[in-house]
Amino acid sequence: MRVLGLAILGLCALLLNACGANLSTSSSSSVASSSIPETAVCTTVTSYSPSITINGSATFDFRQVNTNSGVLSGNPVNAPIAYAEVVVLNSAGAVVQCSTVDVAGNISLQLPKVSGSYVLQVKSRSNSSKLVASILKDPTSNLPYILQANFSTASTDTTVTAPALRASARQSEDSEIKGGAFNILKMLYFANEYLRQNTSAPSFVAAKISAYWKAGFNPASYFYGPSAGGLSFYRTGLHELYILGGTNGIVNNTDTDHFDNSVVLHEYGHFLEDVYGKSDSPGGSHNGNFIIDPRLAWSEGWANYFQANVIRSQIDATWKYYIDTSGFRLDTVESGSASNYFLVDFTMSGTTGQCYAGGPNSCDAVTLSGEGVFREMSISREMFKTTLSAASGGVGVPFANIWQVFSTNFHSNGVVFRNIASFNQYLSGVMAGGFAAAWQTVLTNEQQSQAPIHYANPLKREVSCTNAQLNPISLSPAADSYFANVGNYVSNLYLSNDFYDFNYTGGGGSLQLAYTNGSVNHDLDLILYTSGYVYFQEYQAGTTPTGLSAQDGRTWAIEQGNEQVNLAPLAPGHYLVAVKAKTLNKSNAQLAGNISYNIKYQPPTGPLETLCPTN
Amino acid sequence: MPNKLNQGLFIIAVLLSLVIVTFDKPSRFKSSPLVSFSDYAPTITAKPRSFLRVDLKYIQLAQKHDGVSILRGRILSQIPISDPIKVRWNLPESVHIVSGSQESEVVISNAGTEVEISVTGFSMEDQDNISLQVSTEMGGVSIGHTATLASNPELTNEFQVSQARTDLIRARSEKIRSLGGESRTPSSTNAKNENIIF
Repeated sequence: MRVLGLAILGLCALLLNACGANLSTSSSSSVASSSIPETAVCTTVTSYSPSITINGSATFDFRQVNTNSGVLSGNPVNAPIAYAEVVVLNSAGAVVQCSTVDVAGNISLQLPKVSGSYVLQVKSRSNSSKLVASILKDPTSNLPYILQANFSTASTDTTVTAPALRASARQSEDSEIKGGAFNILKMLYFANEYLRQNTSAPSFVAAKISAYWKAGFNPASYFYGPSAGGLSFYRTGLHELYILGGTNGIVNNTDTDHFDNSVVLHEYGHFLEDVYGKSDSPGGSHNGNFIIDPRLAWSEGWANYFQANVIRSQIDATWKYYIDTSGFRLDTVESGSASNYFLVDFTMSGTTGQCYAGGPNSCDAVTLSGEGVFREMSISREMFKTTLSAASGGVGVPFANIWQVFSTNFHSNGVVFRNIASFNQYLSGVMAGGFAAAWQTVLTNEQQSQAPIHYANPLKREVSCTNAQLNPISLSPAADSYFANVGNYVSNLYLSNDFYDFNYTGGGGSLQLAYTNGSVNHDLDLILYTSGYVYFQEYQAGTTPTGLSAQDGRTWAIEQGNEQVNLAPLAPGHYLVAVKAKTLNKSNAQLAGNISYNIKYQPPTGPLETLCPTN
Repeated sequence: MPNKLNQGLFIIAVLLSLVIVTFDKPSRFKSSPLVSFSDYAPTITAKPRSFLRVDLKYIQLAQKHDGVSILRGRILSQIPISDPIKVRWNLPESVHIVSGSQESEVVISNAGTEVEISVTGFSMEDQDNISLQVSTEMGGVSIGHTATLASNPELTNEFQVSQARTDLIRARSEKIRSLGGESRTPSSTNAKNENIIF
C-alpha cells in the first residue's frame, strides 16, 4: 500500500508540478486521488509457425475450514487455478502470447520456434466463456495479482515445460498471500459453474465483477474510517466486491475472509441479486438473530442460501453451512490463532433456531405465524431445505425453479417490496405439484407463507371486507427490543406493525385509519412509504426519513382513533401502508391487549371504501 | 503565469471530479447512522455480525516505550453465554504488563463487559500491534472475536485510505466554495445517514 500510495503520489505530484500549481498534498491524500483503469484482459492468441509448445501449470494454496470446529485448520491445501489469464512476455517485456488456464490448472500455448527468454504470467482475473471477473489489489491501481516464472526456449525445442506456478496461502512464503486472490477467483468460477449446471442456461457467464482484496487490509476503511470493524461487502449497482484481508497487516489471528468461501459467495450472491434479480433491500444491520425488515431479510437470506448451494455442489457434497472464521490454526509452518465468528447449519429446525448441533438457539428461531418472513436465517433454512434433495431430507425442488423466479419474476419492475413470501408465491406457481406437501412442511416449520400476508399484503377496495375476520383487523403490539447493532431500542416490525401494499391510482382522496380500544398506550399511526423506503423508528424523530411519503403521527389524545393522510400530493404507484403502534419507551404490560382497526379509502369521488388485505 | 495557474486549477478540477465520480456512483441510501465518517458512503450489503464481538480502544497511549499505555476492550455477545469466556491479549515480545492479566476469564453482561490492561514497551515510538481475543467453546466450536490496535494508527493502510478520502472530500468542498459555488453534498443529505452493515 505504501508503494501504491507513493506511486499515486508521484502521479499527482507530476500533474501538479507540471501545472505549476503551488499546492501541497500529503501522501495519504494522494492514495485515492486518481484511479487508474484496469488494463484489458489479454485474450488474443497469436499463431506462430513453426512453433514451440509451452506447457505449464498454475495452482493456488488455500486454508480449509473444518466444519466440526468451524475454523480454518491445518496446513494449506493445493488446488488448480481455473480460467485465469495467461500472458507470456519476451525479454524486452513485450507481450508475445496470451492464453487462459484450463479448468485443471493446465497451460498450453505456442511460441515461435526460436531461442528466447520469456516470463510466464498468470493473473488473478478472467475474461473467458466460464468467468468474467478480476481480483484486484485496490480500486486505485486496479492491478491484478500476478504469478510468474522465467523460462527459455531453444530453436531446436518442440515442447518446453515452464516452471509450475503456485500461489501461496502463507504470509511467510509470499507477503501478498496470492493464494487468497486466486481462491476468491476460484469461488467466483464455482458460482458461475453452479449456475450453468443448475439452470436452463448451460452457457451462462455472469457480467463482470471486480473484487478488491489485499492481505492484512480491512476494506471497510475505504468508506467508514480506520476504526471500522472488519468487513466484506458488495457495493450495490457498481459490481464491486470488497473482501476482508485482515486488519493492520494482521492475518493469522484476526478476521479474514479470503479463505471464507461462505463470505465470498454470500457477497457474490448479492451481486447476482443486483444484476439478475432485483433488490429492494434498504440495507441495515443484521446479525442472524433479530426481526429485521423483510426486504433486508430476503436479500441476506438469499445470499446465505446461495453460498451454501454452491459449496455443496462444487466443493463439499456434505456442506450445509454458512461459516465465517477468524485466523487459522494447526499450520506446521506459521503460527496462528483461530476462532469461529459465525456458524449456521441450514438443516436445523426453525422451531429451535439452533445454529448448529450442540450450538446455541440463537439463529432466528421462529414461533409465530409469518415470523420467518422477518428473519434472515429462517429464510436461508427454508430455501436450503426446499432445494436439498429428498434423499438428504429436503424437498428436492430444482434450483432451476428458484433461479427462474429470481431472475424473471423478481427481476420484473412490476414487483414491489420484494420479500420471501412474495418469492414463495411465484415459486409455488413454477414448482411441480408433487413437491407441495413436503414444501408446506418446511414452510410450516419455518413459519413462512406462500403469499404475502404479514408484509406487503396487497389491499383491495371493498365496501366492507368480505373476510369477516378482517372486520376489524387486530394488532397486538410488543415492547421495543434492544438491537445492539444499532445501539438502540427498535420497533418490533412483526408484532407492532402491519404492512400493506396499496396501489394508489391517483386523483387524490385520502387514506384513513379508524381504530378502537385506543388509549395513551394503544396509539396507532398511519404511515405511507414509497419504494426504497427505510423504516423510520420513533427514536429517530427529528431526523429526515427516507421514503416516507405521508403520515399521520398525531397522538391518540388528539386524533381519538382516527388518522388520515391526504393522497392528493402523491404520485400514482405502489405505497407500503404501515399501521404502526407507538411503542417507544412502553413496556409489554402497558402495551398489552389488542387494538382493532380498519383502513378506509376515500376516493376523489364516490363513497368511502374499505381497504381489505388480499391474503 | 496566470495561464499556468489556470491550467493547474483545471487539472485539479479534473482530479477532484474523478474523485466525485469515484465516490458518487451509488444512488440509494439508508438511515440510522452507525458509523459516521464522511459525507458519503455507498449502499453496501455485507455479512452477518459475529456471535461475539470485542471493541478495543486506548485509554492512554505512551509516546515512548518507557511510558505506560492503557488499552480497554468491551466484549458483547448476541448469543446467551452463561459460562465465563476466555480473554487473551496478544502482545509483542517487547511489551511488558504493568497491570491486568494477559489471559483471564470473564462473564459477559448484557450491557457488555470491559477488560483493561496497562503495558510498557508499546508506544508511538515504534509501530506495533496489540490484539484482544475473546473466545468460548460451544458445541465443539470455538466461538470468538478479535480486535486490534496499532501503536501508530496513522501509519496503517486503513488510516491512510480513510484520511485520503476525507482530505479529498474536504478539498473538493473548499475548491467549489472558492469558485463561488455551493458546496454540494455528494449525492444527497441522506448520505450522512448511511450506515455500515455488519
